[in-house]
Amino acid sequence: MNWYLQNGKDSDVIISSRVRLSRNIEGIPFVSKSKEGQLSAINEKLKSIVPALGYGLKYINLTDIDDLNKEVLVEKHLISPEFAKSKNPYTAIIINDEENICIQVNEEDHIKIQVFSSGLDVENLMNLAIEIDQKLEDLIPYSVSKKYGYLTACPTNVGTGLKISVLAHLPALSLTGNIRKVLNAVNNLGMSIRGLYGEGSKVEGDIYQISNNQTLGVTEKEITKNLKLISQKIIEQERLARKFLAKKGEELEDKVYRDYGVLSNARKLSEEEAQELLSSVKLGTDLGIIKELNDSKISKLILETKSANVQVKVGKKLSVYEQDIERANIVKQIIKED
Amino acid sequence: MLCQNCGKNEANIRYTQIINGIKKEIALCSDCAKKLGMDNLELPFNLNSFLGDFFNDYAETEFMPMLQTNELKCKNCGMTYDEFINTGVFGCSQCYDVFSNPIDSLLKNLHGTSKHIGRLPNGKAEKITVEADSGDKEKNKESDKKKMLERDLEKAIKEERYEDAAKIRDELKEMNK
Ligand SMILES: [Zn+2]
Ligand SMILES: [Zn+2]
Repeated sequence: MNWYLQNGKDSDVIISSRVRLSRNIEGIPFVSKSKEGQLSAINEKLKSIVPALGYGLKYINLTDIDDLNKEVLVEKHLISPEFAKSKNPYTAIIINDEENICIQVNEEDHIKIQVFSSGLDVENLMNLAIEIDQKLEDLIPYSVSKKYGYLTACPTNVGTGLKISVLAHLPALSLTGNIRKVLNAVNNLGMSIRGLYGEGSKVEGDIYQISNNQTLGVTEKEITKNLKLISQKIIEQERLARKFLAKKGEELEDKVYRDYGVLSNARKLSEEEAQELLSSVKLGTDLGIIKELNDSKISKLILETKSANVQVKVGKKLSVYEQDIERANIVKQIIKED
Repeated sequence: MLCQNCGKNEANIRYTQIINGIKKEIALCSDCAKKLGMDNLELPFNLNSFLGDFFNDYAETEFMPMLQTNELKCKNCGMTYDEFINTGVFGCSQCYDVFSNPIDSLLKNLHGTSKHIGRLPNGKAEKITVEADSGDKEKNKESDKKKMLERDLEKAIKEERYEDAAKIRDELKEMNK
């Protein structure tokens, strides 16, 4: 089963975790300055070592994936939007069926190892990322310096090359007007927290991404520990805010059931509206108010109502208007499933 | 106070960040704040353009008066200082050495330090050569690949990853045809 449909730890607040390691190959310029022959050599080399890595990984050239399916990978947060649009013909991903491992080849750096899980699970993810990294370092000479550690194209990643991030669902902190305090506090702790934006300027579905800024002069263990601690603090704050909301029982029950009503009965749903309603319905489900849904159904709804996912499910490109109609159908289907 | 980014307009937004206990404050005009994505705290600021400006400011401050960074150029990849400022990314690993002087200040600003203390690879991997003699190229590639697959096979069996081992064995069989 795909990782994003699984129940994770603390998944009432933390939707998913990701660990990413940026690596470059010794003796070859970073991607932006590499010649075609060098990019193609990297592509070939990585393709040849995939069987040795295990984990059921497969090598897929991005040129073999159509635009809509690339967009699906972006919606699953498996690849970056820039990578999906890259004109470089030697880009590739190394991915398994569960999609909890997705290595980007020739993105900004030669190699970006990424591992994912639902819920808050940064320690296990860190161990998995290092395990993959150790297999790779036996086969590929990395570009490193004693002083600066792993060398990366962007100096914001240099050193450990490690970025850990979690996606947090913070509807109660938003509803109670406390979100700004949390954003300030986290920013001041040397971590960054930012809203995930959709088309508009509103934070889509009250989902925020928290990640480490510092990658140099800090150990992998410290980064992991810090991110976990901050996530736990945020979980605590969000749960307190939810308790506060739950005190005004009828108000909250009315809101989440109204939103559930619109979500399950609408004939037409825009992507933005769906994400907004789902945020409220997830809150209602996590608090035990709404009993018709569960965690994995909501994860499925959040993902499969996104634009490219809707179109791939239907099997063709659709106008925005057609998407809105299909989206409403998909929502009804998923709610009905056992 | 004037905006620290453009130096033209009156600054009316202050942004504070604490990295490793050191408080940093930057004052911006609303135009620049918007441009850097810092007008709304919920927005991430665009680190690349921010980096560039920051780096520029640094080279110009009296802390490094003798630094003629504008003329620095990496011989290996051709990256210039100006280009780095514009893109926010380096061209190759040697850029880190070429620009090491201004880089150290930049890294201290970004990370609070310029010295790595995390993991390093074991250094066992063989170097990858890109330019091979064109005549033997295909042949070399073929035998390299075979050697590597044989090594992978051994490893897979040792680690009891039999499914992978079977796949590698099939691939070797295909090559020996
Ligand atoms: Zn300004
Ligand atoms: Zn260079």
